[in-house]
Amino acid sequence: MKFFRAAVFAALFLTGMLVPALAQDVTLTSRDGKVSVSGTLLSFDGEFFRVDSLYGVLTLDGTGVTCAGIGCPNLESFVAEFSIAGARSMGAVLLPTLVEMFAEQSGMRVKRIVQDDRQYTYVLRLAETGKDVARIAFRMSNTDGGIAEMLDGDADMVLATREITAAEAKTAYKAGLGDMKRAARSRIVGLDGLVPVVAQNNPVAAISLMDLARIFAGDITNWQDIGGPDAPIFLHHLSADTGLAQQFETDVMQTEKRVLAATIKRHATAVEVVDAVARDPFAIGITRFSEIGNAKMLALRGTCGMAFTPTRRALKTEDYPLATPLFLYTPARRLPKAAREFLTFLRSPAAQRAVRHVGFVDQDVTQIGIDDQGKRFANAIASAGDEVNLADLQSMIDTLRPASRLTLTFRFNTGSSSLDAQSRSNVVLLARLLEAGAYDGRELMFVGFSDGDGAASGNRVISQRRARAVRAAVKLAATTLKPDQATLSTKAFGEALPMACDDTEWGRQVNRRVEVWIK
Amino acid sequence: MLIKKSYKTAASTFAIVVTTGFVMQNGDALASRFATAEPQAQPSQDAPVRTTQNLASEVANPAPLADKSGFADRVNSSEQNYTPPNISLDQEFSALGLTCDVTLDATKSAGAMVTLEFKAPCHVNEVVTINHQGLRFTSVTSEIGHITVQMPALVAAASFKATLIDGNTVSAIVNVPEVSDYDRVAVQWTGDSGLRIHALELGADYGERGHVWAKSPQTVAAALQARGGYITALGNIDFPGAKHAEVYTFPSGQVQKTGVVRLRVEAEVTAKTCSKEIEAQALQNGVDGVISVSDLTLSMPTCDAIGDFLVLNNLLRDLKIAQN
Repeated sequence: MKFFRAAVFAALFLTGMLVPALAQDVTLTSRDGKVSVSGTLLSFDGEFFRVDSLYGVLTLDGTGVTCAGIGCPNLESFVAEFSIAGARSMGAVLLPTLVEMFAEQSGMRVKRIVQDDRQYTYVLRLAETGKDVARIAFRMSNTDGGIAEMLDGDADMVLATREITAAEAKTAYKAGLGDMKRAARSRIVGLDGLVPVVAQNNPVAAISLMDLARIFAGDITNWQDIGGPDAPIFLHHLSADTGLAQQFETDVMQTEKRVLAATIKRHATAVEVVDAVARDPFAIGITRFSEIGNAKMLALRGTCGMAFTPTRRALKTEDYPLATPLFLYTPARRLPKAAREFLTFLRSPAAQRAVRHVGFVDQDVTQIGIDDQGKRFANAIASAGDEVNLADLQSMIDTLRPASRLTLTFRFNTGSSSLDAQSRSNVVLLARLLEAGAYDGRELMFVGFSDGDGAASGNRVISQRRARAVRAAVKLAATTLKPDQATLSTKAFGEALPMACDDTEWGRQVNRRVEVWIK
Repeated sequence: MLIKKSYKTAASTFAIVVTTGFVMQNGDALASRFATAEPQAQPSQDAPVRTTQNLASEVANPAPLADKSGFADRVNSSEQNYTPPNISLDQEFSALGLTCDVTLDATKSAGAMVTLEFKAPCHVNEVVTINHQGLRFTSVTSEIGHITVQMPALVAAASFKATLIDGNTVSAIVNVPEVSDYDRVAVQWTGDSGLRIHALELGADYGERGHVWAKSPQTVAAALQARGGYITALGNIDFPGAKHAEVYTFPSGQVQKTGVVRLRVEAEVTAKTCSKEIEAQALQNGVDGVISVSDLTLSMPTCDAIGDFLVLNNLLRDLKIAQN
């Protein structure tokens, strides 16, 4: 038996897998010796024992018991081990940078043990004593792969460039991993966006979402059809199991009711997409905002002339319609202390600096003065008419002029009154800022806007209702906020300040929003 | 024993220099100097040519000068702007009669490069470790105890340290504000693991112009003309503990283009490295804009992959070149 165990250990060691606590016999006895539990040790995280005992699986606080038996871990030399699996686009540069920053802030040094570009382990050790504190195993594939690893019980953290689907969440729930749709199970590490790119020497500068869908469906095959040269279009895209490709499928292809062409050249990473596109003046590719390489971004053109350039600010505000938050999911089980501290660190200003440093979009809330919003107000004037008249516009300007818009914006899922993932995260973000006193003595206006479908009066009512709902959600989340700390008011202007044209579903979705303005 | 051996070699080298180069190049000057100086009975001072033997014995037993009076004046009168060396006879001397002082000088040169001149006349053919902001490599002193190396500065207030085997360390500081015009990354390792940085500049592919690496390192001069970046290989000897580094420089301030320089690190799988773990370090700009050093262990592929390369795309972050 002992021999066999040694063999298993050796095999696990050789394949470089993380070793979970092996089934071994332990007896845990309370400090006063009155209570003891025997069983098979399932895991030990440096603080807690999980034991499969006569009474079922028990979790016992390590500080309250003494351990006897061959299965007892060495408490002194305990090293927290956890694994991160999933999207390579997040795991290649972003997460390693965050781990390094976390270590630096915690007085630890890191060593990266590299197998290859997909598999590496970070060892964190105390700078003072040299004692190992944690080993973080990275196994990078894509969003699908990461979620599959989590469902198999192999991943402690999953990197995903799209939201978990209802079907995946259901499977996870059945597997005892908890409700992945709950805020506690996910967090947004940073922001990114889907961006169409062409070569630098391609004359095309903007494209409508409709044309983008037609091109990737193979319905448009010549640049001439969208104002370019008479040349065939070559298509480059991410592989179908990446979260970004799936996001493109739902946000662009399905919205425009198109199916991807078979002639598309697929690539495993965004780096490969942009490198291929940059070298071919007749190519178009889909990549992420954080990986443009030597290619050129195309702006998205609305049918009525409003264009959306992907910028950091437009991704923060979700004014750019193809924003893609970067998720980190954790199954509902107790993580070692170092892992929990890392998750807490992800929300810190230092983490946001690291996110920005490596080319992703951070979630720091900044203010946009009215002077920087000329284009939006020009749109408002251009779309004004019978339903929204001069008096409406003047009343809106009077309200907003003395204030600044926060980058933090709330938007809703397609055809639904539920907040989208980035906005749900924003509720928590704003609540934390309020609790921390960031807006003490100021007035925060929750300003509702709607699309232009239906009567203007009805839209004003709907936008008012949304503004109130968002304010209520923020108040509920800001549990320690005192009523006199900051004034939270609501305003509503219906369809008066459109961001996009209302003739497409995504245009309407961009317009339906609650902005936050500060006075 | 060992000291004596190198001593002899050094002395004979010097003798050749004195008898040929020195006299040939400076013959006229010498002639004029001796013509104006009062001829006095100072044989050990006057003889421009020495034999190996008498030089060696002189150095081994430095005899006090017969008559030191007026020595400085005499030399002064023969050469303008001459300042007499501040030498005390209590000091130790090298085989060549130079003081055993260990010195390091750092001089800025074009392209935010720094020329280091290390002098340790009493440490010939000795390993010296050079360290600059965590970038370190080993070099060996010449027959006269010198090392001259041109290396990239990583920060504006650039400090350099040179450490001898006995732990004796000298340092130098030079201000290189031009550093902000350049992006620099480095990898460094110990032994002959042979890591290589490959830079693919602004869309270049392997083998094309703009693919910069050890076999196509390019030059500082090309960078100054905004033609692209260059590789600097540091560490000039191979022995089991030798420390090597490769620095890649891109002249971001000069190049009027935007785009990305892809950075890859490659390690060849050789009979020496296969199935082994290579210890290395990567140096690149941290979040605060300061160069940071991170420790790496590369688990090399097994020996059936000899001849292959372990290609790592993410050890060094790509450089994003933006115009202000």
